[in-house]
This record gives sequence, structure tokens and C-alpha cells, in this order.
Amino acid sequence: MNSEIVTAEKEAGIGHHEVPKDLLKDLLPKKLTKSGTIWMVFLLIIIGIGGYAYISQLQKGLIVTDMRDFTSWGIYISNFVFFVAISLVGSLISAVLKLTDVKWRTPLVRIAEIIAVAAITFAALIIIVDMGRPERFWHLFVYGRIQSPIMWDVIVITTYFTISILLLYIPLLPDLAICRDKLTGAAKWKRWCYKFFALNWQNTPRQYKIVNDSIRILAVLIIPLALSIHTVTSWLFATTYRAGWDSTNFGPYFVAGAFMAGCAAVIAVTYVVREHYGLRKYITDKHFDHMGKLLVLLSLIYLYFNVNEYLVPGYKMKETEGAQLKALFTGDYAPMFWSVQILGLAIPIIVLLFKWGRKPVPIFIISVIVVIGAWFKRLLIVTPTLLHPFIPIQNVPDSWHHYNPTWQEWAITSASLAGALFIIQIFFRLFPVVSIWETMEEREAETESQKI
Amino acid sequence: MKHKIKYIFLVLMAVISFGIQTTYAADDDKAKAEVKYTDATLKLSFDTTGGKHIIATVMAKDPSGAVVPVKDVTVVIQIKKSFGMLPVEGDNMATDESGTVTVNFPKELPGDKEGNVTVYSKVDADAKVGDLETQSIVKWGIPAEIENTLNKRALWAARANAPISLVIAVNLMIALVWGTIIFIAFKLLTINRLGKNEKTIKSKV
Repeated sequence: MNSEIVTAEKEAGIGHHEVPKDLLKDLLPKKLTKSGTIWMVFLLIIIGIGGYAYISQLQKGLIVTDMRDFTSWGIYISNFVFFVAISLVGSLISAVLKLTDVKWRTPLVRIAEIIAVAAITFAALIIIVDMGRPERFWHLFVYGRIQSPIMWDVIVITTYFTISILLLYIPLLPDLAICRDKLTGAAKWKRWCYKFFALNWQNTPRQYKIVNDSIRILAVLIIPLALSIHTVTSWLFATTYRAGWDSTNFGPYFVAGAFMAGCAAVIAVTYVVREHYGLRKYITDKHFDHMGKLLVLLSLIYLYFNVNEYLVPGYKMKETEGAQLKALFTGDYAPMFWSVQILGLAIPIIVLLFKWGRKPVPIFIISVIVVIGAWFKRLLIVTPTLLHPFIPIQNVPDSWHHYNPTWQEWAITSASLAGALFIIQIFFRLFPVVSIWETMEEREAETESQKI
Repeated sequence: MKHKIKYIFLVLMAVISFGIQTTYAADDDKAKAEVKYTDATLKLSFDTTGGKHIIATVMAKDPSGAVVPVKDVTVVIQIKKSFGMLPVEGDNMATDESGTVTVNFPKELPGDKEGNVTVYSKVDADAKVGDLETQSIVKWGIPAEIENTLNKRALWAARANAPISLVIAVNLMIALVWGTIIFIAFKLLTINRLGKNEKTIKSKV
């Protein structure tokens, strides 16, 4: 009923010509605060160190890493899988919740979308970092074999990146016009950006119709694509015959984990943004409560897949799988494995089942732990398997039996994580965190329903 | 008793004498074997009389310059496999008086597309003729039907030979999704055009 009224208004030409002053005051991008500046400098320092490490890697080659014949995929690939996982949240909030008509999602959509764009950008970049000869990256497009899951991943990532950009940009158009019209005192380059990217937005009903139609089309399109992107990423592992990867379960297992990690990332970023930009009026405890419930559901699904993934091969304990599982359960990787399973999966489920656990501060802490756990979980998927090949590792230097990332690997990986956070911060420095026009639309709908 | 001892003694003497004679005869053969041969050759020939046979012949020049067969030279005969060699052996692999070794050609041995089989023969560090080696091709193998999987459309094939169903499926999906993306991009241009028109109307008003 409400949305019908709003749509009818738009079609009649009653648009958002006058934006309430409180919305402008609260939601238009603000100048960088002191803490914001410190955070930005901190991120830039990490990016700088990562850049220096990458130059060293470019000069000397991948020998500066601890990747050797057996551990040929290290923390770069773990980080890639992590970024792809995080990026899935864009489709969850923008598409799944939109198509299921979840109203409370509005202030979270833009946060989720910029997280998706930042994550998928660095997923693509970290793959190039993992290449010994990055200048040959273009060979993949020219000589790539369509039969290879790596090629499918390249296609899906490129497509998902484009659609995520569109899903971020199209709903931003009315807000860009507001920035163009209201932020007249902004720097010249910023005013140019607002004007250029606003695409002559004039709040006409037809323009709104196109925006709404486009968002709906993209929302439908991005769901199978989001499932594809992480399923194909899982196939990079599952299509090879190796202990721990040889599973038909890997696609849904990866997708479930990705939704869980992405949901936690949105909660964590939302909390910081809400506190930093003073958005308690727009992002309320109710939002954290709903997101908490969603996170519990996703965590339970992921727990179910984890039980399948470890219990079934663990029950059989086939020789090579057994060696890999023992390394996880009781061996070298046991502390990391059990920390991830208990702190990153079991405890969040227990805490978030209680209402107090879904309050902003506890859920923020839990979400940060879930995100950290999700990162290490990817490392546990990638490395122990490589260190347990079917043909035993023999007659190689002792160091090849283990994988301990070098400072260059840590620096580059940290820089990629800092880079993603940097993109998010720059975006919120330039554009409204919460969609102004959609908030107005919600308010109008509420007013109309009260009148009725 | 004395006579008995006498006879035993005589028999013993006779045996010893025979032994000495035999030893001398062997030494005589050894002396013959130490004949220096030069320009030794190893040749392969093939005979189909009463079955398929490979014949290796060792010939060399004796000190007089005459080309003669060399006896008692151990010859190795092998057939080339895809990887490595298949040894082919008979009852006696040492050359006979005519300098030849004859072995049966293995039955149902696969050859190349035309049935060609490469036969190797060699003599390793023989005291008389040294090292010799030769090879020859004979069309006695079963012609192999070699399937060139490289030119077949398969998941493991080269880029140009991807399975047609996969190529169609992937390109269809790409066309569908990117077609939609291009459609949305055109819609963005429409938004821009609509805004321009609206601005023009507003400015006229």
C-alpha cells in the first residue's frame, strides 16, 4: 500500500524536490574528523609498507614468499577467497532482502554495496599479486581456456564487479543530485564529480522509474551471479583431486560461509559508521537485532556444512585425508582450527541467540571475531591440503614441509585489507552513507500510512 | 695286487694324459679366438621362412683381409616401444659359425600407423669385435590406430578444441548477463537525456 502510494506520487511527478533539513544535516558527507584522519593515515602507512613489499616481490620474484613446490597457494589465495566471500554480502542485502521486501534494510544497503565493491576489487588485485609474472595477466584473456575453472572465475568476478558497481551507483544517482545541489561550497573537483556522475538527475518520475526498474533487474541478476562467483571459486579447489578439497559439497559450503562472513562484515562496518558519523537515529538497535538474527541463521547453516565437511571424512579417515584431518584436529593446525570453529562459529551462534547479544556493542565484537575467523578459515582450507599431497613429500628441503608466510606476504595481505577499508572510508567521505532519497521515501510512506 | 695297482696307475696316466691334451686343445682354440678382427659389422635381416625371424649377422675382416663371420659374439636384439625397448631373445644369443643369431619376431606386436617396427641390435664390449650397433625398420607390426586426442573437443584439450556444449553454454550466459548490463547502461544514458530535456524545459519556463 505504502510503496504503491509512493510510486503513484512519483508517476504523478511529485518527487523529492525538497529534502528535509535534518536529513541533509545528518546524511550529507561530512568533513574528515581527527580520528578519521588518524585512521586514514594508519591505513595509508599499511598500504605503503605493502607497496614496498610488493616492489621487493616484483624485483626478486615469488621466492620472497614461503610458497614452494608443495604450498603453491598461500595466504594470497586464502585472502582472495576471503575477499570473494565478503563481496557476496552485496547481493544478500541489496538483492535477497530487497526481493523479500525487507523494509529495515534501507540504511544498510549502501554499506553492504561498498563493502562488496571494495572486496571484489581487492579479490581481483590479490590474484595478480599471486602471479609470478603479473605483466602476463592479459594472457588470461587472450589465451585463456574456457574449460578451466580459473577462466570461469575471471569471467564471473569481472561480471560481478560490474553489477556491484551498478548496484552501488544507480541508487546513488538521486543522492548525487542532492550533493550537487546542496554541497555548493565543496571543493571544485568534488562539485565536478557530483555534477558529472549525477547524469543530469532532475527528479523526474521517468528517471525514478528507470532507477527502480534497473535496481529490480540487477537485484534479480545478481543472486545467481553471487552464487556462481563463490561456487566457481570453490571449484578451483573441488575440481582437483586432493585431500580436503575433493568434495561435491564445496559450492554450498563456500556460499554459506561467504554469506556468514559478509553479514558479519556489514554489521562491523555499520557499527563503526554509525558511531563515527552519528547515525544512531537512522541505524538503530533494531537494525543490529535483525542483522544478528540473520547472522545466527547463516552461522547455523555454515555450522551444518562444517559438520558435513569434517565429520564424514573424519569418520572414514582414509589414509591421506586422515593425515590432513589429523593436522587440523590434533596437529600443527589444531590451535587455529579449533579457535576458528569455537570462537568464529560456535560462540557467535550461542551469543547471538540471546537478545542482549544482538545489542550494538556485543554484536560488533562478535562480528569482528567472525570476520577474523573467516579469514583464518580460508587459510585452513587452502594450506593444510597442499601440505598433504597423495604422493608423500620426499627428498626436499625441510622447510618445504611447512608454510610460514614471509613478512612480504603478511605486508601485502595486510595492505590489501587496508586498501579495502580505505576505499570504504573514501566513499563515505564523498557520498552519503545512508540513502537520502530512500529514507525520504520511507518517511513519506510512514506519513501516508499514519494518515490512513 | 701288484697288477691291480699297475692297471690303476695306467688308467690314471691315461686320464691325465687326456686332460693335458684337452687343455692344449682349448688353449689352441683360445689362441684362435684371439685373432684380431677388424672392420666388424652388425647387420639385421628379416626372414619369413617358417615364421617371422629377425637375423643379426656379425661379420669382420680377419688378419688376411677376408670378410668372415664371427662366431660366439653375444648379440642383443630389441624392439622400440613407445617408451623404452622390448628385449627379444632366442635360445642362444651368441653367433653361430655363420656369424648369425636368429630370433622369432614377437606375435601381435603393435607397430606404428603403417605397422612399422624399429628393430635394434647391438653388441656390447665384445673381446673380438668391440661395440656394434644397428637398427632397421620392418613392416611386421600390427598397424596401430592412434587417436589424436589433441584434435578432439574435450575438457582437457587446447583452447580451440573446447567442448562445443561448454562454449555455447558459457557464451550464452555471458551474452545474457552482459546484454542486461549493456541494457542498463543504455538506461543510464536515457536518465541523462531525460535530465537534459527537463533542464531545457525548466530554463524556458
